[in-house]
Amino acid sequence: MTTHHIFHQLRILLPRTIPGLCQSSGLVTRRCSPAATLVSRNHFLDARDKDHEEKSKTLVISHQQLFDELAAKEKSKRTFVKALSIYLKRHGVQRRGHVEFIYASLNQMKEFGVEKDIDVYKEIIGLFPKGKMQAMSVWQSELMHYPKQQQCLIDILEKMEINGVIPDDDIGYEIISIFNKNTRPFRKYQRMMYWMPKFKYANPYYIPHILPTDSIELAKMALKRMAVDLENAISVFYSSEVDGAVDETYIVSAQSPIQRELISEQDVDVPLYVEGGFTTWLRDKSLTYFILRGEQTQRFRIYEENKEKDKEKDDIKPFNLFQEEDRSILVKPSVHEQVDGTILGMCITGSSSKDSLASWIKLLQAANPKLADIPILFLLRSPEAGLQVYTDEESDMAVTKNKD
Amino acid sequence: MQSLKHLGQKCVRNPCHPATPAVVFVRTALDFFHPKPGAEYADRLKRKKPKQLIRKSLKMLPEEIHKWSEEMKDKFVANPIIATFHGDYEVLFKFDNNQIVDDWILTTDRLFSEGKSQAEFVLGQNKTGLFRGFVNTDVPKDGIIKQAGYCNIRSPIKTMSFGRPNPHDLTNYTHLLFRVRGDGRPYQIQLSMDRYFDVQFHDQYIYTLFTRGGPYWQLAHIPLSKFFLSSKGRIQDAQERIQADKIQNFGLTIADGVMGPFQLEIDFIAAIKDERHKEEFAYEMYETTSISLL
Repeated sequence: MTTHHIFHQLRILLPRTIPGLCQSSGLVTRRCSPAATLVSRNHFLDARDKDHEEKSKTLVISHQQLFDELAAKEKSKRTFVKALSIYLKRHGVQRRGHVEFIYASLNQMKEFGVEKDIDVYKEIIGLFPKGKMQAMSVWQSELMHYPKQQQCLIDILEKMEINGVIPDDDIGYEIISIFNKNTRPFRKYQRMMYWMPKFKYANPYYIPHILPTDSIELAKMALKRMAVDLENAISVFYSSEVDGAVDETYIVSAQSPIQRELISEQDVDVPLYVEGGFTTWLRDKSLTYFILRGEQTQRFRIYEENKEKDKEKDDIKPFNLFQEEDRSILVKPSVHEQVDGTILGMCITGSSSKDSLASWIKLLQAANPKLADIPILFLLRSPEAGLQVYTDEESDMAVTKNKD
Repeated sequence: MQSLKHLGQKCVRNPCHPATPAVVFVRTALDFFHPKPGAEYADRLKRKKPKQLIRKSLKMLPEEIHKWSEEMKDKFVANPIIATFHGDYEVLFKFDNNQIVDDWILTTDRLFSEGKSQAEFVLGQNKTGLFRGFVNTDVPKDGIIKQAGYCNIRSPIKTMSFGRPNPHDLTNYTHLLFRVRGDGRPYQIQLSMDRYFDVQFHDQYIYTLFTRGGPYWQLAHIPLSKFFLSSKGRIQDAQERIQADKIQNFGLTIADGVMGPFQLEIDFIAAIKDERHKEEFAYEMYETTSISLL
């Protein structure tokens, strides 16, 4: 290690804190163990009752009863906010047990489906009393004035972070009015305001923060995201359009002109495969999709072989037009032609059943007349249970395939 | 479980019995000095007797001397890379054989009794690495852990003879290249740093590898300038560009907080030079007043 490196590392080290001081979880972004936020621990100077943790837990549970009563009627944002207003009506002056009540409400957010709603977080933060817990000096800011309450607000912000909710200015002013600037919750807020907008649109394959509830819209979104070909067109069919279909379901299909061309070039004797179901994710929603796959094409094979030859060639020699070999004008295979086969179409159906996939193939025949002549084998498996074997009644061909 | 074997051999952190409560993190922050990375878990390791240690080291000696002599030969014969040009690349890991897939270390929260996720890293049918499993966000009911659900693979620490660290040097390159086929979930790329001081042992430069999902392969170009500093999973306030010559190992994690199966097929990891990329660091570097008072 050179002196340069040591100086360099010292420079990184100096502005930071001593690890021993990272006990309190307010210093969330310092070099401290994740335990600092994950672990609730007893401080050695803790003068509280030994059973205070148990007591606060029972308090949280007793507050949850209010939410349970309202959940029995309706689980919505309206009832959730109503629970908060009931608390304010009862304890609005003293705000007794507001920390336990807030933890109870945080536990219930997912059940009421409000964990991504910034307005609800604002309502919850509004339960803290204002003015009383202000840190008025440097020492109070640094030493977690009202530690339990500050930790509670940090936990709210942490929950927002986990759910991808970016706070706004109102929340910042609210925190200042509760705990003042320079306190740990406000620092956490500052860090969130710096980093979260930076990563809001980082995903090149964009998914909206709140997904549509309609399953057809979801399927369209997933197919649009998966399709590399820009000419790809997505069409929505219903199995009722097909004669003899048993399942009453929708079929969302994705195919591009190049894929149609590849099907038309296909040999009639070589079978195509319908494979699936594979899983694709849109945030927390998983969808099962199927592909129509052909064997590896001749064009792809030749191109790959020549690419290998080019690698071996010594590229130190200067470029010479007259020495150029024929293979440099080879047609590049399309994006659909890959090592493990050629992808000729993708679909998501409502039931993911074999019947719906047979309907999909029949519907594809309108745009790809050659599909009617090509034998099609169904290699279907549920994503969990491994490969299952189906028999195609029409062609009466049983297909088995060994997995790995 | 196959991964357990790898872990026992290569990782200092000892997987404990599933029945014992997960308290591995509890006292770390009180210690001021750690003699070496992972030493905070020292009480979990069984100390070997000096006799055993000497016997073990003597066995290692011939192999290490052979390695060292090869290195010395290389030093005089080899043709080191002095400069790279636009488009020059270097494949760091190509997952086309069982050896490299076995070398990579797989960890899940289940191994440390911190959760219930399961995963495997195997060689797939197309001669590519297949990182798959199930992320389980169920929190173990031990009253300590608040979140769960992660699976991670990482490369072994690059060493020279006698186990001396020999960090990866990417100063000649600007981007990392990942050829992957994912399932639409985001994965995190982690570049662990080879650092000297104990508070920096957990320094990692991280960025997200967003996957497209679906049957098509994707090639992700990720500039090194976009990686930001984190320690023990937390973004740091004082940021700095990655020291590209001090990369101890590469890692990929899934921990997006979504319960369900995942699958990432990975062909290779490479570093490439793009001369058009002039960005030094993607985040603001101007001095601000410190938000903490210490």
